[in-house]
Amino acid sequence: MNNREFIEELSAKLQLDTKETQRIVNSMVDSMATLLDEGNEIGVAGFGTFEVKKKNERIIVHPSTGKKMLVPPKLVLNFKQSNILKSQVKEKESQ
Amino acid sequence: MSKRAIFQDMINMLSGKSDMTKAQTEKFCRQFFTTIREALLREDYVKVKGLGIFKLINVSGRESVDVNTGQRIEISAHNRIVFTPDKTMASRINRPFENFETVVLDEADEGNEPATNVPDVKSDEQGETDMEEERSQSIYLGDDDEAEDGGQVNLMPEQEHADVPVQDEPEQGNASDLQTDTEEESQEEYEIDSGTPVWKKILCAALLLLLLGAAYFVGYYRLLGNTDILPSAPMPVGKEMPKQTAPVPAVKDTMALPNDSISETKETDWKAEAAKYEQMPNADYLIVGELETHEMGVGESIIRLSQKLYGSKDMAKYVIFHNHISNPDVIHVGKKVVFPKLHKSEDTEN
Repeated sequence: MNNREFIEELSAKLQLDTKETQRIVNSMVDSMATLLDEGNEIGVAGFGTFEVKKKNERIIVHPSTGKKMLVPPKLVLNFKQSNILKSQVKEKESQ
Repeated sequence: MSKRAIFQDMINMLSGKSDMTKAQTEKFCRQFFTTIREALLREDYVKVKGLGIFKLINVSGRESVDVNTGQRIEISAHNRIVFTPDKTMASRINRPFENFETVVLDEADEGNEPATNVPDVKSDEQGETDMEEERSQSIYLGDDDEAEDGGQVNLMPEQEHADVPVQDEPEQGNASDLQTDTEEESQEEYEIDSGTPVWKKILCAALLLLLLGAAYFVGYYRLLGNTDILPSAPMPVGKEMPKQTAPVPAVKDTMALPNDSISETKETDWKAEAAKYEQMPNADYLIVGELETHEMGVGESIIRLSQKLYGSKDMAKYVIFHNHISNPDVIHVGKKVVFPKLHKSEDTEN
């Protein structure tokens, strides 16, 4: 399901215009990013947790050239599924 | 940190941005995540622009060991959610570190890296020398009656090969062989050393630049000293007079040169001149004229100028005295300072 389909479904459920839906989604994502920037974690009951984690710098060996490279540290957004969602997802497989 | 509160924060923030009520916003957010969940369960793949991609991946079943009981258990195949942040989102989150880039580590750097490669190299080296010694042993066995001796000697001081030639000195043939061995080894060591040419080159280049710079400044200093300020007097440059006490005799010399030539022609003139000026009490030098008038610029000090002009900081006091400067630490830019011509007073000369 790509973004357009997702927005369509969401707007159908909320009985909103798709453009309006997309606009709200954008501002919602933006406010999420702002909260994450400030170091918060965003937990959504029944869905999961969004959290920023720091990955340390590390030295890797380039597989083809064999050169050693220093990869800088970075911050990544992590998503951890909640237990409810996890079990639901697992069940789906067993169908 | 309450997770619920953070979710609430998000709703508050969003309702502030849009013109919706809080209740509407909350409904929207809940519907948002519910839709993602439902879509995930239905279609395996949901992409939300700006946030990222939620994807289900299949994990095949595998055998494992129960950590507590130690029994074998089977983990059945299941699905797992993988979330990949959108590029815009990822770069926004990573903004504090965005300036860092992946760096290729140099060979030279590698050598300096702590203790990962160094022991390997050493052990290789040792292995090679061991092998060589074994080879030489076999040669001795083939060649010589005293092969056993040579072999023993070789076995004994395996690591300190400096001892080997000393012990083998009477057996000249062996000794020479061993020497060639050690030579080979030393050659190898050189090769290992030459494995770091990059930083050596850099070091050489830096040194060269430094020398060039130093030469330039020294030359410039001399040029300035010769043409502009004090034509005949050689300036005491730092390299020539490294000691701190050195400038004082140097000053005497430099001062003597021009003044001697003057005193030959006008022997008593300086005394007459000196009478015209106010003299410093108990001073080694007398003020006999005015050498130069200098307008003080930004960052200049009398001490530094006198060092430049007379070759010694000690002369600053005459300048200060001559110009009646009460506080030499505070001199305003643009003030005209007269640098006096100095002559050694007779008391100290004889």
